[in-house]
Amino acid sequence: MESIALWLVSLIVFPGLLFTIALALFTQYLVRKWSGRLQKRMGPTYVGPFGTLQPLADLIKLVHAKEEVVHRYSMPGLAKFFGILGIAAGISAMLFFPLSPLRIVSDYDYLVYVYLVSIWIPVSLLLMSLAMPGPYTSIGVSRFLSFITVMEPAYFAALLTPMILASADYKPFYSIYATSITVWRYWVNPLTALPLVLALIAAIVTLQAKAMFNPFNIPEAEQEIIAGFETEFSGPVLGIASLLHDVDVAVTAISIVYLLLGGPYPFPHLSIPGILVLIVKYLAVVFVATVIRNAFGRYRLEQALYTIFKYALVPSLIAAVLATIYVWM
Amino acid sequence: MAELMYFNNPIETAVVASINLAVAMAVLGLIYYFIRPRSRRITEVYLAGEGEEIVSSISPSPLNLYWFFIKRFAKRIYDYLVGAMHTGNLMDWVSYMVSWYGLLILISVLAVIAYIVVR
Repeated sequence: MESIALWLVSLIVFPGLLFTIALALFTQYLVRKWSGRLQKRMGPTYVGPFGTLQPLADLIKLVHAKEEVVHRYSMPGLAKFFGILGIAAGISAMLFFPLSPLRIVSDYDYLVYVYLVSIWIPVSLLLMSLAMPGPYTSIGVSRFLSFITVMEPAYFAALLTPMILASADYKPFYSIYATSITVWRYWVNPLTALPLVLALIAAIVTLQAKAMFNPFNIPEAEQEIIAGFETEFSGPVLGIASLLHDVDVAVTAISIVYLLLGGPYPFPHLSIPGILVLIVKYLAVVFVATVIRNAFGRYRLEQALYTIFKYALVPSLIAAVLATIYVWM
Repeated sequence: MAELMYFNNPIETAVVASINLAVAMAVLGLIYYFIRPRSRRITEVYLAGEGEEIVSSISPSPLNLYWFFIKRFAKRIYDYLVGAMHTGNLMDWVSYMVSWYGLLILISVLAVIAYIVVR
């Protein structure tokens, strides 16, 4: 009975549904606020203290108050189904991290995590778009599909690097939990720090691409192709798509914080230094993504693909190979 | 307070993750059901002020994606292949195709030999 209660609390409250959505909305607030400051604007200020509740207000407005606008080819029910599926995949993935009171652990659980985050989340977004079709939507979808072919392998290889190192010394093999609590040890060894640095660079570029922040916002390409893959979204579908995007950003950032930066370790979670270290690392990752977003203009599709290829896929593969060589030696 | 839910193989992990996904979906679906908007408006397809008859199909062909990938992202390979074939000299095309088919025949012969030896 106690285990079921713990499972439900982990899935519905922390770090599951409520926490993940709160984190996703807060991350959106941070990106908007910091972007505003970098562009000499105020950013959100009106709703809640310092405007912190603005993303929640926007979400409630879209999902509850706005009317649904559809055309005769639209399938809004299907679009919402896939949106909710993607958000649920992100929530389910959060239970793999040591943040959760109930941690799901097994050999190769990383593959299950990738199945949730690198397959269901992007596929849900694509299927949402295809359920609300239109010429601009299709162009956006085809551009996003091109992104996925380079971006997701880079994300996989970047996070695989610490797994390879940790699996040589600790069990379970290729486990998110085991890697998260031990990866900090590999940052103090120069031989293993190099692949981790490469993997971190690759992961940051991948986060930028997954979030479709500048310079990788060609799939939505506002003004050029209206709003790309989300052109036909409105009201609740737009709200759910926006939340799905934010959940994707938050989960990706959390994965970088835990698997590459070691989360709160060497401090435990339930300690003041541990919590502070965790928060600072998360804020740092989001801040770097925000600065890059504001420092670059939009790349054309082939430029964006080459950049992801050059600065994410290649470094991540080199990192994984270096980690493998180190383990063999 | 923290508890490890340890599984012996990733298949069990995938099943548990899928159950979590289904439960989270059900809860999210319920929340949406209670707060969903009550009004819906049906409009024409928006094409920068034009009617939908100006497009031949509502969605572009998947070939567009393929050709973008080949002609833009894999431009060097594409240019090399086109350059090797389309020189204006028929013999270049013949030698390219012969060499390509020759390579395929060579691989086939080697595969057959390898199969016979291994068997």
